[in-house]
Amino acid sequence: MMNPSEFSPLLHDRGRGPELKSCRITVFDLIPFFLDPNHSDSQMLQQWPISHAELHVMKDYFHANRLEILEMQDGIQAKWQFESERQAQDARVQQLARRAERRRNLLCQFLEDEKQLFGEPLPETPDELRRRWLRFQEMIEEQERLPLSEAVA
Amino acid sequence: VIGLVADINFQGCMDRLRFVLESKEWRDFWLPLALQILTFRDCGWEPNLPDSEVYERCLAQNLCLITGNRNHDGPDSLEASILAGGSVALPVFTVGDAQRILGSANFARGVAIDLLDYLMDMKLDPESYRGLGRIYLPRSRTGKV
Repeated sequence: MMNPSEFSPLLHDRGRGPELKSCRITVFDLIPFFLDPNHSDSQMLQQWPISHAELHVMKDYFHANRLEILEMQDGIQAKWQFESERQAQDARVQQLARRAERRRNLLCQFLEDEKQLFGEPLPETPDELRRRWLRFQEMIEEQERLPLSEAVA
Repeated sequence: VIGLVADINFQGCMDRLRFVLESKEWRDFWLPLALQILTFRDCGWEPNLPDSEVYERCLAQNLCLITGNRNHDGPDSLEASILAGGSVALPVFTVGDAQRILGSANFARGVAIDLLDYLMDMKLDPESYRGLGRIYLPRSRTGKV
C-alpha cells in the first residue's frame, strides 16, 4: 500500500492507518460512505469535520489502494468481532452488565414511584435531579445491603 | 463527576445517541445522571491528538472516551495505551460498527440503552469499572455467561 504521506501532504500514518493530519479521522472511518453510492460529498462534509480537499484526498487514496485497505478493514472487523465475543465470556464484565441491567429495572420502578408521589412530568431542575439521584442511590444501597464496590467483588 | 468525551470519529454518532438519551422515553433515566457529553472542542483538545495523549487526558480528567473501532493498532495506539493504563483508568466505550448508529434507529437505541446502563452503574460505583479497558457496545448477548 502506498505510503500516505507520499501520496499527499494532507495524510500520514502514525500507526492508526492512513489518517488525516488535521484530525483523528482515518480512511477506515470513511469506508462505509465511500462504498455507498447514495452518499454524496455534501452529506459527508456535513457529517465529518473535514474540508473538501481532505475528503477528496481520502477518497483518491482509498480508490488507489482499495484492495489493501479493504483487507485491512476486514482484519479490523475480525478483531472487533473476536474481542466482542471474548467480552461476552468475561465474567467481570458480564457481572457488571447484569448488575447494570438490574439497576436500570430498579430505576424504572423508582421513577414510577416518584411519578405517583410527585406527578408527571417529573421536575428537571438541577437541584431536583440531584435529590432524585440521591434518593435512588439510597434505595439501591438499601436493596442491595452491601457496600457498592463489594457487590461485584 | 464522570463525563463522556466523544472521539473525533464518533461525534456524529454521539449526537444520535444523545438524541435517544434525551428522548421522552429515556430522559427520566438519563437526566438524573447529570453526566456531561463532551467533544474534543469542549475539552480544548486539538483534533489530531495521538491515541496515547487522548488516553492520558481522559485519565487525568476522569473522563470516559467513546469511540468507533475503525483504526489500525500501532505502538502508539489506544490499545497499547489501555494496556499500559493499568487499574485506575475508566473504560473506553467502543462501538464496533459505529456508522450503523447513523443508519439504523433500532441499533442506535440498543447502543444508547447499553451505554445508559453502564453509565448509571458506573456513577453508582466507579471503582468497579476502573482498569476494565474497553467495553464494547452494543453488548454481545450471545456468549455463555
